[in-house]
Amino acid sequence: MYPVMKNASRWNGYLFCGLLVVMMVYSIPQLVTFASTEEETLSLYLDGQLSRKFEQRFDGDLPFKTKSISFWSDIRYVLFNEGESGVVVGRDDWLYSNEELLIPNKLDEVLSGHLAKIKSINDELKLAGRDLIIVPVPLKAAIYPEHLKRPLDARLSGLYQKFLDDLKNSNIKAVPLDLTFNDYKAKNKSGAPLYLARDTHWSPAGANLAAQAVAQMFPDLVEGKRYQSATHDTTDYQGDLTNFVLAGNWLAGSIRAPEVVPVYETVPIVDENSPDALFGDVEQSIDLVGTSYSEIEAWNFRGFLQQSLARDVTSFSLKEKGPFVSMSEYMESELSASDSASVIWEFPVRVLLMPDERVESWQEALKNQF
Amino acid sequence: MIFTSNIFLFLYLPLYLACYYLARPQWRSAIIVAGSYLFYAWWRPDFLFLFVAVTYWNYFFGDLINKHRDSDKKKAFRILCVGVSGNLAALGYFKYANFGADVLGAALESFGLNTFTLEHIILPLGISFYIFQAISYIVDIYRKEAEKANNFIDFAAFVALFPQLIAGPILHYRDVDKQLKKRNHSWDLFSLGVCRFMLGFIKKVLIADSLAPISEQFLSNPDVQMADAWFGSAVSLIQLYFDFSGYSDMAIGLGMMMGFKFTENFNQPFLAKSLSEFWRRWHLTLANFLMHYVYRPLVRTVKLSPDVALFCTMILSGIWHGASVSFVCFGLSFAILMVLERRFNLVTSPSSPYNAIRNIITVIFLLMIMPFFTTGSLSHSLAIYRGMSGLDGVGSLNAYVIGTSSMAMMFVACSVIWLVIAGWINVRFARTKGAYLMQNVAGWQAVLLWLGFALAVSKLAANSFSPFLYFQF
Repeated sequence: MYPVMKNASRWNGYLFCGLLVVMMVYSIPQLVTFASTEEETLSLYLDGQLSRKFEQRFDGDLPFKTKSISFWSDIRYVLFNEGESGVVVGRDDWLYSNEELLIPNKLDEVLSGHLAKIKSINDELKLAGRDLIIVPVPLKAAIYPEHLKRPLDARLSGLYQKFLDDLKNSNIKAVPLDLTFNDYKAKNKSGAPLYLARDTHWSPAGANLAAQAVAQMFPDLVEGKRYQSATHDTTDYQGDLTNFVLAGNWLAGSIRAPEVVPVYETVPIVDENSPDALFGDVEQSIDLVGTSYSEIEAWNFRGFLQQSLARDVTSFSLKEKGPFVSMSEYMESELSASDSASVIWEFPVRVLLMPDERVESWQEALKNQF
Repeated sequence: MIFTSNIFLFLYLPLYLACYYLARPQWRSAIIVAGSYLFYAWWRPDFLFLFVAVTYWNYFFGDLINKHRDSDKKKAFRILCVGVSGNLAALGYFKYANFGADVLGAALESFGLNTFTLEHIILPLGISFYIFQAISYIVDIYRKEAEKANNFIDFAAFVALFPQLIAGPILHYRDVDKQLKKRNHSWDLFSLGVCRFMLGFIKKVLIADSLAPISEQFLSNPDVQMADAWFGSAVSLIQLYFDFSGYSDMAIGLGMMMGFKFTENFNQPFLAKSLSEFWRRWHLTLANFLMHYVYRPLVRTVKLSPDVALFCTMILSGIWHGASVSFVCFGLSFAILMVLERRFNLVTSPSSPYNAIRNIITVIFLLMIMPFFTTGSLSHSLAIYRGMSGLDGVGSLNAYVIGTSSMAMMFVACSVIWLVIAGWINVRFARTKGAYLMQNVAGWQAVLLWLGFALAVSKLAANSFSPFLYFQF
């Protein structure tokens, strides 16, 4: 005798049939509507795409889908004060990406792997007669650990310096932003934060400080074209990490609130009295390769860099691809043949924590089949 | 189509049941075939042709064997061999050709010969299950353990019966042939089926799918430390149990809704006191199939020693699960340990008295074998064993909390509590009637079940579906 259900009240059957009837009345019109709007159905049907398409629409239109998402997010937020996978909820309505806090078991091996790739990129650029300057963007959690609920792991707080040391030992130029950022934080207790509380990225203040640090560290890069950055307005910026907190507003209202970000614009200053104003020397541009820290206009990193270096900056930055893909695509692009003697590489340090290769298990591959 | 999808629950199932119950009894087998083909074709309609071809092949050979089994036994045997070979050829091509080509390519490469590549062959859903089921039909006819099907529709209904089509339980024709001809439909059986289906739904959506992120986190990174490796391995095993036993519960429940009574597939496997006993509690229909069609013929007909036959059977079991060296090692590990259990008289049965220490030791061995299965890769398994041994450090579970969520960890705790309570009730009341918490689903048990079902439905709506792990095989 197996330990299984042996009997059940008939009410279970009645209730289940009632549920099925209600859902069938709801579902049939969905099927009819879909069938009447689709074209090329046979070819789509034969390779299984039609059924997937209908299934996706059916799932998306379920009347209780939104309520269900909120329900599970509310439970998650109330019981564990956490959002969806990918975010770490901190104190004072601060959010952090979990990518900054996940330490790989073989950290040293992972770091060596990344460093080897950086070295090879540096060598390749050197062969082309160009200088690589890395601008490592510190972990938000390392600059603002006070908003984390748990103390920051020592390996993470020491990661930036270790990376700088490794770069130095490999004769690769780098801008030590952590010192600049920490110094700013110490001197400007009530100043604008360098990172947005609920976004992965730095704020315009952080981007500006980083640009100034590049100019201070490498004064040779500074030329004579004058730029001015000014802010005339602010915008409500919805931080990317708030997308991971799906709990209802009544629970997580303040943590989902947009942040006020000043809108900067950088323009060249044209001195009309100068003899060079119209037919002056053409300034040489410098190439900036980066990630979303450079690509998103709200941070104005390129503009601040133009202002600090007093020269044009040509940006080759890609969102959501990471610094290595950006650099590899840059090196394959026409831009890599530009005259820029130096290449500034904005490099988020959190990337160093990601193992080079992620194994796709058969369980994940199976999921992708459906 | 997947049982735990909105489309199945809210569109396919009500329409199917409506057609089934509105049809005259003599048409119901045809409704089963049509409904099951639609169910199967939802994934890839082109593979339905293979499925129909396999069905017809076995029906045809069943007929032929039946014609000759009394008059010319040798001829019947030759026909059986051709029939089984055809089935194995189909299985071999779709399931093992890629693996074979890889192995051959690597071997040729090591001799410096030009290697070749084989275009990736898609594994048809459920092929390992429906081929085994079809083989059992023609072998049973040859052995006179079953009568040939009355007509093609009845046989097609047996092979295609959608509740068990993709991942079992593996049925024997002799167990369902009478049910195909005549079965009782009652509200009592339907209600029991509903409850069994809901229980399976809860196991899969609420528990197994909630553990999946932890399991994926564990399996996506081969460099694990001791605590992470043991914990990850345990969670993967628990996830696999809730996933597969949930599927089996749903299949059995759906069968009951149509008046069928299928064979049970699980019997509290984590109460096993030896690995031999584990296979009498886990995926019972596969174990029975292997015992009936592989192990016994090897011992009785081929005259192999029981230990050698066990080795062959367990290695075949490993290969059945997947085409890789890792799955061979999975089968081999069980074979070695089960032979040792025989030698040292440690074999137990589900009815032998419970022994906590031997139960714990068995579970530890299971955890040690499972990486071969859950990773499907030998090098990855070896990396996990390295982690388990502590050579890469003690580790913490932080990666799971930060990388997945505290809620996933809570579901791990819930699943362990579930297993402990179910196990305790089973052990404590094994010899009495109440050896199962929900023996009679009424009153508070029904409320609990419906509450869990409602939570599972809302979770499914929030996250969409994920396939059952055994669809891989």
